[in-house]
Amino acid sequence: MMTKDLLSPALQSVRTLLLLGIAAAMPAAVLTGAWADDDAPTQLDLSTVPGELVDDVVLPVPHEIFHALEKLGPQDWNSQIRPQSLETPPSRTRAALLFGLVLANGFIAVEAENRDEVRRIGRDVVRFSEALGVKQAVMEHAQSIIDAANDQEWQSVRRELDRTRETVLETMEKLRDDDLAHLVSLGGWLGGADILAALAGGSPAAVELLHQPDLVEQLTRSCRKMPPALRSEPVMREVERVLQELQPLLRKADGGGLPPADLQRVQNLTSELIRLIEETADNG
Amino acid sequence: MFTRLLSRSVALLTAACFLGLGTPCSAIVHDGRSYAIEAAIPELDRKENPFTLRHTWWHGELDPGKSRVIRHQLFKGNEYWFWAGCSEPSARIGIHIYDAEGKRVEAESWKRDHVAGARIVPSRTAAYLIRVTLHHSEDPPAEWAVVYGFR
Repeated sequence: MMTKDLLSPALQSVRTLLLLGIAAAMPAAVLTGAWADDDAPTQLDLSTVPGELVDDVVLPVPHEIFHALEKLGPQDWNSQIRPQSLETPPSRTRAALLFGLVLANGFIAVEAENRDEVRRIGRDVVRFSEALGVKQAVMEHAQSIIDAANDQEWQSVRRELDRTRETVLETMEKLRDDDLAHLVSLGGWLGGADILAALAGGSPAAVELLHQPDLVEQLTRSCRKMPPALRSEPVMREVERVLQELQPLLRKADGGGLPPADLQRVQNLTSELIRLIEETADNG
Repeated sequence: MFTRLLSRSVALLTAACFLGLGTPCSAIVHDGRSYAIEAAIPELDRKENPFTLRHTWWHGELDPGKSRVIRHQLFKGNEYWFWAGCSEPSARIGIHIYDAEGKRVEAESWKRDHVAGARIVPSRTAAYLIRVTLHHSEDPPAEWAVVYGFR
């Protein structure tokens, strides 16, 4: 199990017993105590939705998207690995975006089952978390990523990457760094979208996975709520510009109907933005 | 009362064990979330093709008869379960999934007092609306949480 290295042997035994008991008991409980829930309206009055909407935007992890893509056939994940380690930028804005990209690269390396790359990313996680002031919180995750990569336990690496992301977001929110936490998520989403655009290759089923205009709209709205000083940074101005241009393009991906020229444009936009984030990192 | 306390302790301990909590970087402890994860365990523990639990979650407070809507991006090709849990064991909660046009689209849903679940196999890649409704609470407002998994 994923968490074995985090728990003492005694706790592991307790957990195992509990899990076995619960696993055995739950289906019966569900069968006897739960009932099909059909009394909700079959049609929602959409005019009531804005007043009920939860404000939090939860972005899909790259693995969630890659999982759907993988079902369409084997993908050349190795071709999408960015092998070079990036310099840690002094700017926390760039560090946050890069941290998200590093996590996205981690998911790609896992899909490629590339042990050395995952281990390198585990080390990058530590470096970038230090730049964000959350190193202590993610040290155990980073070690777990490296250990699981050594054992080639890919499912464990995926879960640990998701936990790393969540821990970083929670820690940053506790530190009242909500805006930077949002940028970590945004960086991860950008990395996933870039790979998706590169691998979609004109397959309508793959292209349809890019149909995320509402998500981009939520991202754009979140960026607009950020403090003016943050929004005025060149990299953030570019992030907002790219999101704005992406939204109508991604809307066309419904049903896989995005024309090849538009797909190319999506790929160019995401790749150029990633390059800019990385370059600004290199330039400090 | 003792049974309720015991049930609650087991739920919290089970969820904590499953999440690997108890470490310095543990997530926030929220009873509703623990109950939601407890409800998810059969799907996460399947021997074949288990669901992967996301460690991100939503939460808030609700009064009886009120609903909250989560707008969330889903991908065609994946299958999703959403589980809702309420911190108050005597509460009753429900969860359903709607498409962007407001049509209820879940493949199945169930509810059992303060926990509920809804499963969807999306026919389109798009943003969907996950609606949580509090049907009953003896001590409103009640804390709720939603977690989800995919495969």
